[in-house]
Amino acid sequence: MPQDMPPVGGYSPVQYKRNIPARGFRPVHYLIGMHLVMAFGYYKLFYAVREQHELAREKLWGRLHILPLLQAEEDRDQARRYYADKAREKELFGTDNKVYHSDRFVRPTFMYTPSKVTQ
Amino acid sequence: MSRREPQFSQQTLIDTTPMPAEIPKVQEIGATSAPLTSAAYFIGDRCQAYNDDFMKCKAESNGRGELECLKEGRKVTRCAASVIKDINTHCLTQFTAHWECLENWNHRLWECRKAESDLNACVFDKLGLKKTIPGAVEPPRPTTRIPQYPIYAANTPNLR
Amino acid sequence: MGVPFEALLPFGIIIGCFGAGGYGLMAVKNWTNEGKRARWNRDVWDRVMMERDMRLTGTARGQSCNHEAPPGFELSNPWKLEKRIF
Repeated sequence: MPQDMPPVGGYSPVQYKRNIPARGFRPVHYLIGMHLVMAFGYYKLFYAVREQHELAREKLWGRLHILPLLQAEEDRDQARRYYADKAREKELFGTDNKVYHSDRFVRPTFMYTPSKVTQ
Repeated sequence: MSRREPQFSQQTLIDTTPMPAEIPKVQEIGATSAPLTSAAYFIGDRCQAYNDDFMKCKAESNGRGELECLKEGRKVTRCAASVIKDINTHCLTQFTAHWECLENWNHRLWECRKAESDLNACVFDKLGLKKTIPGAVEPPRPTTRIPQYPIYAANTPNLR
Repeated sequence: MGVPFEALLPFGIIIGCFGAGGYGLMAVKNWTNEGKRARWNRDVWDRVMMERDMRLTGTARGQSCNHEAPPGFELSNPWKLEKRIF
């Protein structure tokens, strides 16, 4: 009996690859390009952060220069109220009495307020 | 006032008793936040000694500097008032331009470099006060120590 | 019977309502800031300084570059009070 055999010369090759041309650049070029863009961004960021530090320093020293005068203004106000309170106590009690057992200036936590508030 | 900032404040207490007569009077400074920010470096340049003196006094009398540093505080206030008065008499237009720019730009100094350089030049010419930022590391610009081509605010019309 | 502008009527209503809201907000913001740009990202320093500006000039965004405060300024510092809890 004759038997099925491969054709003479073998089978023709099966086409399993797609025959489409690759578009664009080679992938390594995209990789290099991305890293170049990133490097430029980080370069700018480096100087931007450095500039921000300088701007923060500028703001800080500007505030430091005007801080003493604002503090002096506030301290005068505190001293004025302290003396006013002392004078009122003297008028009410007739003597100088101290709340604390020291001569320290203490910013008052509790204050007597006028009973009728007109707002 | 106590150390804690009042969160549920319902009323305010205003005491109009004047300062006792034996304490010398000093006129308070009438400049508000934007002019003070604008003039801060000139105040710092002329009044550095008084400022340091006052803050040293505060640090040395820990806790009760309010009563003991009144003298130094008056010196600080008089010196700063003299600087603002001098700027007002000599460089009023540049000064006004700068602090109005600051007021419009959320008090961010880098938005107003053009007005600031005018003001710096005028104040240096007339009063001899210079803006220097202590400890700045970026060398290029002589007056402000901010880079010559800044990255921030590069697109605003107020720049240089 | 199809009238061509009928489709544009709700469009006009939408534009009108959004415009009223937006321009209204703009007007209110402009009015509260007295014609200046709003302050933003304020820290405690800025808030305290704005309260001091209020004491000096009497308006929220007013500024003055006088070297002398108006009379009575040094007597007008308000202390904020809160009722004691216990």
